[in-house]
Amino acid sequence: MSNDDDMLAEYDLSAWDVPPPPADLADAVIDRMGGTDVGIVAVPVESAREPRRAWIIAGVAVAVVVLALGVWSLVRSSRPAAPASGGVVAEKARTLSLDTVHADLDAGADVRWKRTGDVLYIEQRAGRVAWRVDSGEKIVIDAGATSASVEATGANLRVEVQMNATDARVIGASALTAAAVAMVTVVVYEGHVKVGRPGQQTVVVAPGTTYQVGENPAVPVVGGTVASAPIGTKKVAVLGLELIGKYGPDAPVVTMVLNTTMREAAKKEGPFAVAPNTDKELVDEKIMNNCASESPQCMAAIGANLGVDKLAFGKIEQTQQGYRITVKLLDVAKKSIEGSGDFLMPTAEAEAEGLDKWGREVYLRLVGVTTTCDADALKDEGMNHVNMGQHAAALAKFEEALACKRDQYVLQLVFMEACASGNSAKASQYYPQLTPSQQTKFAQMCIRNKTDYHGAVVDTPAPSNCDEVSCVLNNYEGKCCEKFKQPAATLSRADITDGIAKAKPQLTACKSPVAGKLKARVNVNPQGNVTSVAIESSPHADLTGCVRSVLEKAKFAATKQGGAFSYPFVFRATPATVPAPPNCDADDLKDQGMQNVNMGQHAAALSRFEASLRCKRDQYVVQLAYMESCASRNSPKAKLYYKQLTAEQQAKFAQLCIRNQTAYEDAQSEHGWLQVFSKPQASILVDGKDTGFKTPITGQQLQLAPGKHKITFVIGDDRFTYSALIKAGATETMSKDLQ
Amino acid sequence: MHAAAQARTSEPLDEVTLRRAQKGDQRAWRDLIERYQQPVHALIWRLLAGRARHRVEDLTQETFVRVLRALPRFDPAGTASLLTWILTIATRMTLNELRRPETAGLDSEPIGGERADADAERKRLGTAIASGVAALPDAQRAVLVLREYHDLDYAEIADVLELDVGTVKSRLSRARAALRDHLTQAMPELGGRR
Repeated sequence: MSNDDDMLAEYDLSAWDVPPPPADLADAVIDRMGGTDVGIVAVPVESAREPRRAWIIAGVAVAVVVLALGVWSLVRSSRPAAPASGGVVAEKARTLSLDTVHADLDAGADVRWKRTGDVLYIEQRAGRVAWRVDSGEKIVIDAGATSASVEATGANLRVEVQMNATDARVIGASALTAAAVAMVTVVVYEGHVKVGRPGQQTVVVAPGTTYQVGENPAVPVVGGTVASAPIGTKKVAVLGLELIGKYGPDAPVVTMVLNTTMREAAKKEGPFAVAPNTDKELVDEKIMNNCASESPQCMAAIGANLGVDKLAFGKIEQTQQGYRITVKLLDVAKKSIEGSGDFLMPTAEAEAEGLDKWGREVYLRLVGVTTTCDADALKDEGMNHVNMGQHAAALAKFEEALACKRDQYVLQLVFMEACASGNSAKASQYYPQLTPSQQTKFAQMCIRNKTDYHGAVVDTPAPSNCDEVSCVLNNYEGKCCEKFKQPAATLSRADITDGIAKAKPQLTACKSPVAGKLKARVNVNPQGNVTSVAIESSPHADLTGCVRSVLEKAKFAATKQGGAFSYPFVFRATPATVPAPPNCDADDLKDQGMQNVNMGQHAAALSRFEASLRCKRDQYVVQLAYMESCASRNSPKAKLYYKQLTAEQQAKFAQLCIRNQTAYEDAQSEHGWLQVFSKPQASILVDGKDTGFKTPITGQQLQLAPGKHKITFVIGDDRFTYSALIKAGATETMSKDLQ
Repeated sequence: MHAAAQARTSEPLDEVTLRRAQKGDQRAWRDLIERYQQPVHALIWRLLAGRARHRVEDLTQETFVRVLRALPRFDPAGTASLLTWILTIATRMTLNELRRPETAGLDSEPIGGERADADAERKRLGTAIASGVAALPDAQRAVLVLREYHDLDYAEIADVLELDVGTVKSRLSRARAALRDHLTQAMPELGGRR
């Protein structure tokens, strides 16, 4: 660490020993957490499903069994009550009595319950349980997922939750068992049982009937599985991805979800028919067929055993950059690889929608069903949006381009537009994917735009409900945590820095014609209010009053005793304009301006372009200066440079200022506006010139000079032209059904 | 054995147990508490440095209650290890406790040497270290204890205390110098053993 580490070397610091912690600490803590120990392994049931799990659950077409247990009669409160909450993981067959609900658990069954009001909620995560519900009673069982429910009244039934056999590793980790649920079977012996699935009709399951809910559509089962409708004549088995290398706890579930979505894509979108009963895992098939590797010969043998023409399989490896997915398509008869793909799925996209997208994309690309995306075209569209100052739209296009084809430059653009559009979630998502050099260079974008780009790597989120735990984790940050925070004795350095930082915008506004250091002495009372400010030194009288005035209104942390401190401020001289250097390099200044543009520093960019223009007149730089005037909402400059644009440039770039609500002409009010709607969506030309807009165009987006204009709707190769009369200061509306 | 060396002897909690604990499995909770109770208790005990010793047990308990409540939010792939994360919570809770007037105002009680100890010199050294550490300002004591007794590096201490690394270094340097001066006076016979 440092030489200081030796400072106490001659002393054995371990001589200062501490007493051991109390022996019953764990018991005391668990008691305080409200746990109840019953049965073999007791687990408290969560009061609400953890949000993080939702994506796992949503990503897998698994079942939920819900039995709704009805009103818990108050009369029953006199009898010995079962624990209000608890859980059992049955290591061997056992029975469980929860007041009027009785359960016979097979070995391996994992059941938790919690009584909330009159309802007993049961979560059956795994295994087989026979439930007996008294007449007139109703229970709710959650089998660990949310895609189905079963309600039973006065019933005898058996519920089986089958885990995905290939995810045995996951099953051990209870955090992930929900995602590993592959199939739920409900066998009704007697009573009333209803099964419902979100978005589908509730089905009444009659006594004597078996009902199965799983990856395939829920159907009463007579035997066998329901084959998917053939899409093509060739048959395929999607063995999915094998997880290799070192990986984190989520990787098995990510793999499983990807495999599921790949199979779903195969079933729904072809081009091959998915052979029945081929939802096998690559790992299992390799073991069963004694394949040490995925050599075409061995894999072809697997394919032949499964009776398919094609075999889709691959590997997934968790890396620092994300999940690297390598897939292959084998022609079983030819024993040859006829297709392959290599993808890098960012970690941030390893969630519900992202996994759906990636699983589908990976499979469809592998089998040659290309999604009609053109990464370059999408990137260009994004650049157009950037030029128009439409950062959110640009972000969306760049993301599409990135999904189409991974490209580090596009990734950089995505991050920049996330910053520019103030989209903290996206900025945080993409920042870790940048190279270190890109991170260093472009973090400024987010800082400039006050967009947080560290969200993804922050260990603990900001307090959402302002409970004490959240406040402790956030070191009592935020106003809502004040009530938990004990005031310090005196102002700390951090308190002073914080207080000054809050006043910084006002202090920065204090201008000095000369550079220099101003030193102020500030007294603060226990409430954190400034009681006096003494300016000990100042480079200019103008500054003295301004700084004093700002500091007198500054607010600091409350302390027991208050405090006093001296604080130095360094002020730069603020000249009215930035003159161009005598030996200026117009191109260099233009390039610097472009860099500012890329960083979203529009005012700085304008300044550079103006310096370039002072150095050398260039119509392109005039255009740039105009564009940055619009982007920085500098109306006087926009008016100045708009006049200097060519007619063509004016027609093309007027929109920039309109988008940024910046006046660029002296007589703006003499314009009118056109709202345009169409079915289907169309690109709009005005007087033969592309506006860059697509319908719908609303509000004052499309500003036109008063008079008659030709409005052309462009839909693919078709063009439909109409005329519109624009009146000064008025908004006209044009709506066309072109289907 | 150097004090810091003792701090990290316990194996980290295995991934499966951690995930189970994050899902509320009581057996996993128990494993977690038993794994980390010693360093947490020792940290709090040393940070309080003889003041409000009746609060050590409460604070240890409260720390683990908060740890368990916040555990689902802990990211094993994040920058902080589980131990550092738990120590962060313990440190912040204890420093917050030290801000309480009733805690801050209490004089330090004799800390070391309460147990029968065959090694009288070691006992005396323990007492001297305890009183020297107790005399440090809270902020310096926290840095010193985390470094010397819990083996956190500068960056980790900076994260725990939300300081920049430079501040951590300077505080640590001052704390060590002050403690060394204290020990030199209290145990002059050990001062020259380098």
